[in-house]
Amino acid sequence: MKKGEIITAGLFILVALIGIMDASRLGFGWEADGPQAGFSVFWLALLLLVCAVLLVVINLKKTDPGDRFFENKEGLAEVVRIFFTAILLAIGIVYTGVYFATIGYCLLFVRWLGKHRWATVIIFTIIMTGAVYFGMEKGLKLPLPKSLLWRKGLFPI
Amino acid sequence: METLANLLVGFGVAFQPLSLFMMTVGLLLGLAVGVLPGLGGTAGVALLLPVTVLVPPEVGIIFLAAIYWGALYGGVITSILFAIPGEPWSVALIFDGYPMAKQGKAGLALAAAFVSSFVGIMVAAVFFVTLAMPLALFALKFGPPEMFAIMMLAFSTFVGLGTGGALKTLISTSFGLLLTMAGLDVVTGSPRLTFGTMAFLSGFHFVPVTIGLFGLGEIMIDGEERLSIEIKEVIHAKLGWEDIKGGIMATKEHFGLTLLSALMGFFVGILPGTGATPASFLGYGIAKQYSKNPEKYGKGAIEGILAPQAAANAAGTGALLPMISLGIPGSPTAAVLLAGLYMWGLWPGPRLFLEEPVFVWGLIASLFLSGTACLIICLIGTPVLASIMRIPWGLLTPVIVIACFIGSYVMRNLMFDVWCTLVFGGLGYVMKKLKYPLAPLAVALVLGAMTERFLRQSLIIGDGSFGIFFTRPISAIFMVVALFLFALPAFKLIKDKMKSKDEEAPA
Repeated sequence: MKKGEIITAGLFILVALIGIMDASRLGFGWEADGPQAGFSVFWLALLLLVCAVLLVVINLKKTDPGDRFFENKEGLAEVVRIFFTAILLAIGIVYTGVYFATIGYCLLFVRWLGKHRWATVIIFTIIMTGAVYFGMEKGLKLPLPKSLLWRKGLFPI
Repeated sequence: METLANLLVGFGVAFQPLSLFMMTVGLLLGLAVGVLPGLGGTAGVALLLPVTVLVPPEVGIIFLAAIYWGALYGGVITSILFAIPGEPWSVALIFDGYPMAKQGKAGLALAAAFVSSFVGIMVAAVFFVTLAMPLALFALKFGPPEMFAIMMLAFSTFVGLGTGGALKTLISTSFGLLLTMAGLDVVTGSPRLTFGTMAFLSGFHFVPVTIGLFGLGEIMIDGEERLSIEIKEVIHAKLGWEDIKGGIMATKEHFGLTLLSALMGFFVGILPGTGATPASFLGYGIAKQYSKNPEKYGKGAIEGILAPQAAANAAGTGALLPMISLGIPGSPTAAVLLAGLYMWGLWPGPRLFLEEPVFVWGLIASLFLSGTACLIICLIGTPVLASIMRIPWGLLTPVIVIACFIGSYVMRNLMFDVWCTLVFGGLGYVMKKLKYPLAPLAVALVLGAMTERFLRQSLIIGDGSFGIFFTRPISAIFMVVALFLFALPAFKLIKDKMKSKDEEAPA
């Protein structure tokens, strides 16, 4: 975990530095009518920076590397697979709309990660896509992103 | 007398058919969320927040609160039957609940847990009714410095009394507050932390970030853990009339302990940063410490179920009190409920009690109704609820991930929010693995904008001097306590170092 701790704290340091830079651009002092726009940003970013740097120092001083971030390779692979498929779903929503993306995601996830039979995969995909369409779009009347074909008036979803 | 009249108005709202329907749906969804290890009450409430735009606010809050109660009850089932906590506050139930289930007393253990949950909620609800109005009226005296001081107090309790390390809690809090600064500054109109992009101009919305941190992040943790966790021995749930009678008798026999745990849980729950989880452990610890037979704990003692469960549910109820009276959430789920209030254009505090009595008292009355309805549903539906655990992971996960993305999108119809959920899902996973507390981040996201506004207003009143916080009596008291709590981890560290030095020194 030591490496993971240092990398994560490093990311917070980066966020803090970006905050300080932006606060410097906006000004973090006192104007005639009150604190400048960067006032709160600056002090919070500074607090974040100090805490994250302290965390890095504490971890660098540790001699014991601690537990591994991923207990085994299977754990890492599983997390990557879940995150990767979620990214694909988000990209799919942008380019094909929520329904085609849902179909693709369900087919991929349930078959590849869930290792279910094709019959289960297909039935699940139909139920899931139908539930999103009738539940959200028709039932709750919440508009969801649609495909290019819908935008051209060629397809209902 | 006035309180009683208000409560009657509240029951009038809670007993309306739409309220009863939404409450039942909320309870069932909450129970499902509580049973599922991959999804917690916070993510559940955040996911369903957009649905509430379709109903009046007083029904919306009853629906969201019902999900919350359902989640509080739901974790019981998996802890006792599978030794897998559905929610963090049900961990303490495993110690004695699972051994009881293995001894063939699963039904009795479940019934005792449900009855003590009910007692916990009812005791807390009575205190809620008694304290809500006076607390809200006391807050009438608050100006911007007092409000800023009370927010500092909320953040400081996470640092001083929280279970995470102080540095990591401060990082979570300051990071959450920084996120709320992104977008247009409401006072000067300057774009902050937008990096010249249009997408960042609208800022980070609370819901997609929370869904990412508590929903998607949890799914990844769950996906990884399922490889190493094995369900030890599946005990089938059967709840007969004898078990129910036994549960009631056990609670009656140990009523003093259950009542004490509920009282303690309620007051622990009021403190921000504590919530139901520490309350349940505290309840268990006290029950064991003051027991005449502490050796039977861990082997199936019924008191080991009654005390933590009553404390956890009372704490869950207590966490709503500062949320509704002062606008300070006592737990991350209460923070999401608070975000709901803002979404409906309502401001918690004394004005809410005076201007929206139907909303406030409807919620308060629903505490009693939801607690009772949940008890009945659990006693009847435990076998069905337990079967949710057996839904294959490969089918459940896509449902949750798709729900997370849709829930994020529909808040503002922005794809940016879906990307936010994805990024914060990854971050939530890493932070949780490294034991960063996520509750302060969620609370900071809700309170951030207001905290900054109150700070700026106070500084303008004080002509730029921080002395304004120490010259007004109420804000001075809050600030001194907050500063003490912020410094508490440093005191503890110095004390530990001195102690270890003394031990190292030759005699």
